[in-house]
Amino acid sequence: MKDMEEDKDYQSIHEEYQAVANELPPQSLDASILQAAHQAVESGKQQATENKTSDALDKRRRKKRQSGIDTQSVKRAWYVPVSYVAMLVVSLSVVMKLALEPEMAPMMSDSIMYENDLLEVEQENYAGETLRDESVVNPVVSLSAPASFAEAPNTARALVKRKVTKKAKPVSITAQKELARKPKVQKLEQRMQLVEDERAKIRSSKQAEMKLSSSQDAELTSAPSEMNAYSGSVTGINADSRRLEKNVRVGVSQAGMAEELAEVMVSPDVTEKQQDLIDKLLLLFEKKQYEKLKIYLVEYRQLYPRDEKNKILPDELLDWEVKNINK
Amino acid sequence: MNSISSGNKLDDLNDEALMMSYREGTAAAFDVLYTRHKGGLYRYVLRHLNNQPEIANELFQDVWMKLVNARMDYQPTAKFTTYLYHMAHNRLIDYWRSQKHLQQVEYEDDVEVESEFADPHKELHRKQTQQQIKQAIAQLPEEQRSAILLKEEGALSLAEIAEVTGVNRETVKSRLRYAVKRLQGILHPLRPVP
Repeated sequence: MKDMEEDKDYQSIHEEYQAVANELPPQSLDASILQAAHQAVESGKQQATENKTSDALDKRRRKKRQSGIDTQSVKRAWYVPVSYVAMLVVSLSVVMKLALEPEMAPMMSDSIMYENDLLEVEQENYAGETLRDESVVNPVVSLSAPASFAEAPNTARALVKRKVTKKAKPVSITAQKELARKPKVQKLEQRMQLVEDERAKIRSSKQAEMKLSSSQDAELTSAPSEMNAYSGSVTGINADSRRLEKNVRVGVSQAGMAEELAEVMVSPDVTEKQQDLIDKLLLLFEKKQYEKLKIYLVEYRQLYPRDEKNKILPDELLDWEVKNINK
Repeated sequence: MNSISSGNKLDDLNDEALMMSYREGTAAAFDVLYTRHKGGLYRYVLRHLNNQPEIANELFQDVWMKLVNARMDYQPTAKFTTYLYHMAHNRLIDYWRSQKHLQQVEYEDDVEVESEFADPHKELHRKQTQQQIKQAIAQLPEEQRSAILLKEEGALSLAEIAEVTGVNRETVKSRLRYAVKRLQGILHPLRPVP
């Protein structure tokens, strides 16, 4: 009222208004409002006590967490050591496996050479591989006799060559050592199985080839032909497979494997030319063309003298040489 | 109101101290506060609603309930009456907006009045005067009515009225002047206008 005290008009209105302004709320309304106000205070007190209790509980829990072990950190903590242990176990298992089965581990030195050499050796020793690669069912008949041993049909020569090449192919010392490391029993068994498979195939193909005419057979006898070469190679392969089989059966022990392989594999000094000549010799021997064989064998020996250590020719041919030439 | 008589110490406290005491959990402090301001607040709300007691009772109760519920947020930075009438003013505005009722409602006569006058003649005169004032205030524009009622019922200063109504002090002063002049013209039409 300070602000309007000097205003006389306001003062008169103020006095008139204050004289009549005496309305009050009903008592029921007063009671309800006061009751609500008191209840609000009481409920606030109860909530305060509940909050105190919960705060105390929270404090206790916090104390436990601080003094004791933090469960969450413990849960997270075990992840790391368990992962370390798992890694250790896995690495140890891998190392153990590599130690027990060394052939599974990649070779550090001469690995490429080793792989290539092994591939060649296995291909050479498996006769079936060579036969499949050649179209031997369609022999090329040549009526003219070869002028020399070197002029034999290439196909036949290739067939025979493969037959001999498997023995004459040089193998690196590293590869031999690596071979020695392999599970020799497994390799021998595999080779035995492959030899038997190829034998069966040869027999079946040979029976098919028996249906050829006699004229072809006569022509084939005058000069080495695809068919002769094929049959000769088949025979030769049979002989070699028998030899291989023999070697496989004889040399099962790991200690003798290197020696067995050395018998099959020949000196690393054999050239391709020598290989060709050997092929031709074997072909003539298989065909029992002994007159020609004698001539070619003498020629061969002029170039490559007989060496007791050098057992390139098969035993049968060597025996025949001894009996018929080196009397 | 037995609780009021029990708190002599509380009666000596000002409104702000009583509200703080109530906030801290002394229910009797609210009783004192309520007794002090229930009449003025009730009339303030009643006058704004053209003396309709049903609606006035409802809004009156709403204002006090709002005060009770907001007791923990109360800060003695402003005068308690300013705080209380500010809530009442806002509640009235909300009511008007909800009702879209800005015109004056027909004047009601059946209002219970506690009167200490025993003389029937005086009582009759008082009643007649009261009705005239009520009708005069009801005829005021809403802004002028708010200003004069806050001044009369809430005993607020111009600055406090400005804070409640959201205008500046000079505007409140002019509103009051206009309100007084208008009331003078209604109540005393034969008086000469200065």
